[in-house]
Amino acid sequence: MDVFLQQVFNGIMLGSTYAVVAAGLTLVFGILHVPNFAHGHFYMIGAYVTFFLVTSWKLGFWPAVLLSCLVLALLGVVVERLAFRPMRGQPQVNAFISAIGVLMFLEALVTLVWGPEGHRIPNPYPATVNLWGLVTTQQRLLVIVTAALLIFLLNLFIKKTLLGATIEAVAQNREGAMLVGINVDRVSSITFALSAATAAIAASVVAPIFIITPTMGALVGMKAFIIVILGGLGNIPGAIWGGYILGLVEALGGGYISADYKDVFAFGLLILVLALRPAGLFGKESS
Amino acid sequence: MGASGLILRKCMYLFLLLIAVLVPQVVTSRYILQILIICYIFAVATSSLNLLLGYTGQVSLAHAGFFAIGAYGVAIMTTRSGLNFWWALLLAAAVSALVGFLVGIPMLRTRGSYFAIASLCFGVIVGIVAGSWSSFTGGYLGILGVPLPPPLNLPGMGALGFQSKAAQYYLALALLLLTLFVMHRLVNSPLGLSFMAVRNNELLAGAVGINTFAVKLLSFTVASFFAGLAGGLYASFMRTVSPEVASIHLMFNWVVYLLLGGAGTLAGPVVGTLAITALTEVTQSFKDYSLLVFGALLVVAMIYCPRGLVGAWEAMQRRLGTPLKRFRQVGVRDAKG
Amino acid sequence: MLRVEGLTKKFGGLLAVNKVSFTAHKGEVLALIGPNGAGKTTVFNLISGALRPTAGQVYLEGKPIGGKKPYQVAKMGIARTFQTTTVFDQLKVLDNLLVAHKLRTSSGLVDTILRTRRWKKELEESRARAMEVLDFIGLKEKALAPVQVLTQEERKRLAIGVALATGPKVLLLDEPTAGLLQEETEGIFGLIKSLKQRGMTVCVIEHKMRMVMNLADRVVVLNYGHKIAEGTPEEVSRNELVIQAYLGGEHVA
Ligand SMILES: Nc1ncnc2c1ncn2[C@@H]1O[C@H](COP(=O)(O)OP(=O)(O)O)[C@@H](O)[C@H]1O
Ligand SMILES: [Mg+2]
Repeated sequence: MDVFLQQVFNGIMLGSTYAVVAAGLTLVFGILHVPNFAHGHFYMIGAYVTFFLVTSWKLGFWPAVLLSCLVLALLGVVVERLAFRPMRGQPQVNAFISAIGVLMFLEALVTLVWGPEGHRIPNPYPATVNLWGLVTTQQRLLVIVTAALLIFLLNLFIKKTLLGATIEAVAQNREGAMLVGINVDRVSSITFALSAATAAIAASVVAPIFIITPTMGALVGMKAFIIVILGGLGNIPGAIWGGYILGLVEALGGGYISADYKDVFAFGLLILVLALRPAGLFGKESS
Repeated sequence: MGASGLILRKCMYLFLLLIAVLVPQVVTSRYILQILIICYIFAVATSSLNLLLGYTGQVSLAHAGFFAIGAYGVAIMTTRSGLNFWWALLLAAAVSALVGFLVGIPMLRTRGSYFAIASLCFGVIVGIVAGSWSSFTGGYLGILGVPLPPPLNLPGMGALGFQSKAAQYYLALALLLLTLFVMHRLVNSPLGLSFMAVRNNELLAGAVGINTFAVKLLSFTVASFFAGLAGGLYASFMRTVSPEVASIHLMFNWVVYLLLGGAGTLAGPVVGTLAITALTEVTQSFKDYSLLVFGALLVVAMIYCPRGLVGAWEAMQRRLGTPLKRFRQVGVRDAKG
Repeated sequence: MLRVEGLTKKFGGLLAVNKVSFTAHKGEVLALIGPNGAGKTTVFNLISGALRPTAGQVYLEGKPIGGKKPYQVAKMGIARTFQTTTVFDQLKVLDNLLVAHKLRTSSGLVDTILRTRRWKKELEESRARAMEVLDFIGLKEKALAPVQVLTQEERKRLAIGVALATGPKVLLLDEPTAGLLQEETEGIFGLIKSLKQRGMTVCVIEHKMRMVMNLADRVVVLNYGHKIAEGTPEEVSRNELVIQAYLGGEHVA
C-alpha cells in the first residue's frame, strides 16, 4: 500500500509538470494551429536559465525562476516571429519542419554553452515532510502546488481577462476574429510568450529534483504533443487532465510493469488512438 | 526539355559517376573514404525519406526506426544465426518493409502534423525496444562483432573481398546507385506522378481514381525497404550496432540533408548529404557549431527556399536560360519522346 | 445511365439534400440549377463518393455505387470537376492528364522499376490518350508547360481535360464557367457542346441561364435541398415554383 501511494504521489508530481507543459502547447498548437515541436525545448531552456541564474548570478531560487520565466517569454515571442509567422498560410507540416530546425538550434546552443553532461540546480527545499505516512520532500510538494496554482491562474486568465477572451476568440474563429478587428499577430506573440513562460516555471520547479541535460526537452515535448492530441486540440482542461493521467500511468506502469518500457505506454497509446480515430480523440472526423 | 539539354544532362551525370568511381584510386586516406562511405549510406536513407517527404508529401519521422530495424536485423541474423550477410541484408530490408507496411496501415490514416507525431512515436519506440530488450538486442551496449560482407564471387573477376576501405566504398556506392536508379524509375513514371498527385492535392487525386491510401502505403513500404537496406550495410561496415542507430537526432540530420539539398528532387538528398558532411568536415572547428547552424539554416530554407539547393539551382537555370521558349516549341514529338 | 434515387444528406440538423431523384440519360446534357446553397454541389459530392448519403442510392448503368470511395467511383466511370478550379498545379499539363489516366492502367511497382513491356505499352496508350484530350481541350501547345503559366480559363479547360482523361461514362461539371469573362465562357460552352456531339453524358451545375437554355436537354431545379422542378429548359422556365424560388432568393443563383 505504501509503495502504491508513493507511486501515485510520484505520478501526480510527474503529471503536474506534463499538465502545465501540455496546457502551454495546446494554446499554440490547438489555438494558433502552430505545431510547435520545439515546445519541450522551451521547457529545457527554462531549466537551464534558472540553473545559470542560481549558480552564476547567485540569485535566489524564486527570483531566478521569475527572471527565467521572463527570458522564456521573450524567447517565445522571438521564435514565433522568426520561425513560425513566415509559415502562416502554408501547409502545417512546413511549420513542423521549421520547429525541428528551432529545436536543433536550441539544443545545440545549450550543449555549446553548458556541455552535454548533466547539471543540477541546488535544491532550495530539500527537507523531508511526512504526509500521513507518505514521506516526501518539500520540493516535490512544491512542484504539485506550483502547477496547480499555474493552472488556476491560466484558467482565470482565459476566462476573466480581455486578452484571454481574445485568444479564445481567435481559437474559435480565426477569420471572424480578424473581421472584428482582433490583431492576430499580437495574439500570436502573446500566446507564445505565455506558453514558453509557463513551460519555464514548470521546468524550474521540477529541475532541482532531477538532473538537467540538453536532451531533456525532446521527450517532454513529444509527450506534451501526445497529451494535446489525446486531450483534444485547444482543449485546456483536456490537456491538464491528460497530463495528470499520463503522469499516473507512467508512474504506475513504470513501478508495476516495467521501468524500461514506461515511455512506450504513452507512445503506443497515441498510435493506437490515432489508428482508431485519425483526427484525435476529440477531433472532427472528416469523411 | 530539349534533346540537347537531355544529352548535356546525361553527360554531366556520367562525369559525376566517373569521379565517384575514381575517388578510391586518388584518395588514399582511410578517414576520408570512411566518411564518404557513411555519406553514401546516409544518402540512401535520405533518398528513401525523400520518396515519402519530398514526393508523396508525408512527413515521416519514423525513418531512423526502419534504419535501425535493418541494422539490428543484419546484426542479429549474422551473429546469432550465422546467416550469410547477403541473405541477412535482404531479409532485414524485407522485414523493415514488412514492418513499414504493417504500421503504415494505422499511421497513414492520420494526416499532416498528426502523422509526423505518430511516425516519430514509432521511431522512438524502436529505439526504446532496442535499448531495453537486452536478450535480443544486447541492450544499451548493442551487438558487437557484426561481420563484414563475405567475398562476392563475380564471374570473370574472381572473389571480391570487402576488407579494404576501397572495396567498401564501391559497395556503398553501388547501393546508392541502385537506390537512385529505382527512385529515378519510380519518379519518372505514372506511378511516381500518382505519388506527386497525392502530395499536391489529395482530394483531386482521389477524384481521378487514385487510391490515395494505397499510394501512401506503397511509398511508405518502399521507403522502409531502402532505409532497412541502408541500416543493414551500416551495421556491417561499423561492425557493431547500438540504439544510437534509432536516435531521433540521426533522423533530424537526414531531414536537414534532405531539405537543404532539395526535397522532391532526385539529386537533392545526395547533394545535401555530401555538401553538409563536407562542410562540417572541412571546417573542423565548425563541427561544434554545426547543429546550431544547420538548425537555423533549416528554418531559413523553409522560409525562403523550400526546394533546397537543387531547387534554387534549377530556378537559377530557368531564369538564366530560355524560360518560355522551351514551352512554346514543345510539340507532340517532344512529348512522346 | 446515371440514376439518383431518394438521395438525402444531413449535416447535423441541416437537410442539405432531401429525397432528390433524377436520371441522366445516355448522351444528354443535364443541367442542375438552383439558388446558392440549394445543395447542388452536395449532390455531386454524394454521387462521386466524396460524401456518404444519409439515405438514397445512386446507380450507374443499373449498378449501385453507394458507399464506394471516390477513387472507386472514378474507376466505375464517373468523373467530376470541382467548383473551385482544381488541377495538379505542381505538375506539368501533360502529367496532369497522364496521372488522371493511371486508373485505366494496371502496371505496378515491379513493372515500373523494370519498365516491362506492359509498362511501356500502357505509357504509350496513356500518352496517346493524353494528347487526344489535349487536342480536344486546345492545350496541345502547352503540353510540357507547368500549370503555373496557364491562364484561369486554360486551367478550367485543363480541369475538364483531367476529368476526361479518366475515361468516364458520365461527366459531372461543377460551375465550369464561374469567374470567367464573357468570351472565355464561350470557349467552355463550345467544349461542352463538342462533348455532347461525341455522345458524352454530362451533368452540369450552371448559373448562366443562356447556356442552360442552349445546351441542356433537360434541367433539374433544386431549392433548399428539394427538387422543385424537372423538364426541358422551356418547361422549367415557365414553372411557377422555379420563378418563385429565384425571385424569393436574394440572387439569381
Ligand atoms: N461539408 C459540409 N458540412 C456542413 N454543411 C455543408 C457541407 N457542405 C455543404 N454544406 C451546406 O449544405 C448546403 C448546400 O451546400 P452546396 O451543396 O454547396 O450548395 P450549392 O452548391 O447549391 O450552392 C449549404 O447550406 C452548405 O452550407
Ligand atoms: Mg456549389
